[in-house]
Amino acid sequence: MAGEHMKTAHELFNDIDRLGEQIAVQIDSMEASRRELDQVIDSNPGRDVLGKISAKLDSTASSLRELCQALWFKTAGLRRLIGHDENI
Amino acid sequence: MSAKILVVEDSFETRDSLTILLELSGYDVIVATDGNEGLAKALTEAPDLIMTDIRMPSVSGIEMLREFRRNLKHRTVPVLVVTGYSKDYANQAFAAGADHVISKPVNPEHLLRIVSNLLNISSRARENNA
Repeated sequence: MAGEHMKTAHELFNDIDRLGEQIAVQIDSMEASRRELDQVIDSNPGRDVLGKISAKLDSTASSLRELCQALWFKTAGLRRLIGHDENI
Repeated sequence: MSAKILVVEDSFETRDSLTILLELSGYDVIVATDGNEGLAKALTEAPDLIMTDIRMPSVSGIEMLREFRRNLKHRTVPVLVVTGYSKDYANQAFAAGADHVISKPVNPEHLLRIVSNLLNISSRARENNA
């Protein structure tokens, strides 16, 4: 239903881009924490457990990057398909 | 004639969406799901550009690239490495012969500009050597 608050496709695409960028920032933050963790693992008595947590964080960040990337590619493809590709 | 791009990517979602985007942008796309298949297609399909992930099952993107670059005639084919892992792999990728390395997620507009630039540089180099 069209109304005065209805967003245009262009605005929605921009929203998706903005959300994707926010997700990417969070992934970078997660990786920064993982790197901090890696710096202290060797001197910690719980290094085995911490090592597993670090590996899990690394793998999770990688999976999130793939998902975020696929979302951006799909959005860019959709933008082209419906003719909102002026930014591409 | 449109440029032929080989996409080597193990993630289905990324591979599928990237293929659609590249095709909508006017490129011919061939795909491989790991470095082994990627190397085979790189050697037989004569792509104008290779875009590869790094961490993949069996043969990694770096191993594939190293093997591909062994042959002199393949040293001019531009290779763009797009990795989901942190920048730790960038030096290895460049040492193996990558022309450009970027981290996922990359802005699609930015990626398409890099692809276009690499193809232009490669095309000019071929013309100069002809």
